[in-house]
Amino acid sequence: MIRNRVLFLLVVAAGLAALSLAFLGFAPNRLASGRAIGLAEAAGPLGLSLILLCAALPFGAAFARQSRATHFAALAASLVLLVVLPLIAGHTAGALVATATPIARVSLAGGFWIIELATALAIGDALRRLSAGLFSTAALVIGIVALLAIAAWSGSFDELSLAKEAANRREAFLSETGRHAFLVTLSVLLALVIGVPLGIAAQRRPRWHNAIFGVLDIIQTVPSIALFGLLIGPLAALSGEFPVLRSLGISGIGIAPAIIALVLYSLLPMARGAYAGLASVPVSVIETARGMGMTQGQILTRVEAPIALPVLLSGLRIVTVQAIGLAVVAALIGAGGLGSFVFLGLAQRALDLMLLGAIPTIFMALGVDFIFQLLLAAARKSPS
Amino acid sequence: MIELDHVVKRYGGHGAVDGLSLTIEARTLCAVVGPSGCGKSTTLRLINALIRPDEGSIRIDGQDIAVIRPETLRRGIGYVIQSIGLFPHWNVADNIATVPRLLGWQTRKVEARIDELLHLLRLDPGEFRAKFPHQLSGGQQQRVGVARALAADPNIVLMDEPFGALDPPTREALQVEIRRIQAETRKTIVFVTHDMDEALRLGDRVAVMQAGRLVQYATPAEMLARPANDFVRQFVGGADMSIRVLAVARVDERMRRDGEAVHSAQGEAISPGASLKEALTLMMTSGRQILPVAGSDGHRLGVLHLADLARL
Repeated sequence: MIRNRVLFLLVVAAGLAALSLAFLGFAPNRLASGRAIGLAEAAGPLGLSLILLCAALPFGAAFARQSRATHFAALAASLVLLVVLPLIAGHTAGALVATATPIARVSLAGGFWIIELATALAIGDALRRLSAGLFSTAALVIGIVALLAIAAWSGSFDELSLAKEAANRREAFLSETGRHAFLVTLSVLLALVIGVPLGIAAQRRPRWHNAIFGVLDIIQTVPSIALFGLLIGPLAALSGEFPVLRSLGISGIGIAPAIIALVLYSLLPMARGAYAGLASVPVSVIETARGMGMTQGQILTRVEAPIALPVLLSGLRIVTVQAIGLAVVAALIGAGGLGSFVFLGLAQRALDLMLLGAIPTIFMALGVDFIFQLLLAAARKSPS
Repeated sequence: MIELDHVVKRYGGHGAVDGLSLTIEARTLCAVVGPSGCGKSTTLRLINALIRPDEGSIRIDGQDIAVIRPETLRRGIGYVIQSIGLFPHWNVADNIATVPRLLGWQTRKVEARIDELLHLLRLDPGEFRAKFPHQLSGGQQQRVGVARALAADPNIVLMDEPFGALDPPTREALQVEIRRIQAETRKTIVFVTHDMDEALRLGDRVAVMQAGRLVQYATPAEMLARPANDFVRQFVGGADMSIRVLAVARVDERMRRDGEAVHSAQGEAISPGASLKEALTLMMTSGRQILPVAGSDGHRLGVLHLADLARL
């Protein structure tokens, strides 16, 4: 009898992916389509037995009577699998490349990604069932990332096409990642500075509420590519009219329209967060704060802001994660960022190049989301 | 002393407070009572300038409050409301320390004051200082609310139906506390309630309001003996009124100081300060119609007959 359906499904999905999909692709150069290499061939007899053992444990755990022991078994096996698979891929890539020309490429294929994803989900499932705290989860995640980082630094993944793509474009990769983080940070800060006062205004003056959120709602419904495009015309005209703007680097394409569009998208969740946070402060608390002689400023900073902080932080979390994703599109109007690899890869039909943009974006979003969860937990903990 | 002089406050054309003149003596408890919408809460909020009157003036110890900065005024007046309004993100000690910290007291003085007030409200500092409001019962929360209002030792405390949301036993316990605290600290307390029993039990004087106007302002005994009009008569309770008289009137107002029975009456004596209700209870439980009245030193002061209770 299946006692853990989630784990069962994940093991089955990973198994099917291992049997039917390529684990690695082996191509003569970066643009040609290559030969599919299955998991068994890539791992070799020793690797395969380790993988089967790591798969058998969670599979058995899905049928066993559920206890902390079964959760720990599934967790440990999944952790090993999560780290071992990239190492096997890197090792096999090295062996394959040694037999071919220097421009031959070994890329990670669908099977690899699906098994890794299933493994990560199995880890999440086990942590949830063990009701692991946010901080032990954080320690685990940092541990995994550190292990993989050490492996990458010691050259274990160097022969994989993704790593080669990154190495070839090392300068560009670092600068575009920095550019991406800059776009997100600046736009989120601006959204914070503009959105929070808008939320406060909507809460203080009920008459403004509909006007403020009406406009922000409409902005939110404009498709992102359209908004980026819409800003080109007006900004180009402005910088044409006023040379001083041009000298500041503001023009129809580039950073300026990207920041403006990102800020516009961030305003609604930011203002909503501030509004909902303030609205969550009980009326009686404001009444007594006034009655005891606090000034408006003291009420805002000592009473309303601390009580509203958790809700505001959730708004900020949504805004930041959303901005990391949207900033990819900003590459279309020449703002740079990780999106430039995605669109270059799309144009060249080079999957690895697209992944070079997409994967760091995903990790950036997950990392930021996780940091905000920690902050939220701290903010919620402090009042009680 | 608080003086309201022909005060008018209008909301949407009709007077919530409509020409109210009322003088509240220092160091007394004035219970303001009336049906909902009579303007009693508005009156309270006018006194600490949470709202401003459209006409008339309000003076505290002779000074017009219109010329005082409202925050300064409010820091000198305790304020307790029905929904309590403790700061949920602060523990009990920080809540109580609110006004002293606004006034810039020294940390050591604030800490000592917190313990003093917790003792006054019969909450153990060791147990309660670090608790957060959501960890307290309703009655404990309002005890902290009262302690917070008294924190900076204000001369005046305003209470807006402070015990209205509490269950009857808790409410009665807190009424007892308020009487005791009032006796110990001699604050000027303005106590708004819609409960006539509460007003009669607590007030040195009771102000009955109706439709923004003062209908009668008198001691509880006077009000029961001579209601100003049918509204007050009905409000002090038609058929139950005589029972209320018993709760308000004291033994020494009715006892006989001379006569043959003064020294011959037998059994447990009653104190002159007890209410007639307590005397009646003692008569009924002990099966006597005549009670000796004696001071706390046992000295015989007089005698109380069952018939004495019936005189109004």
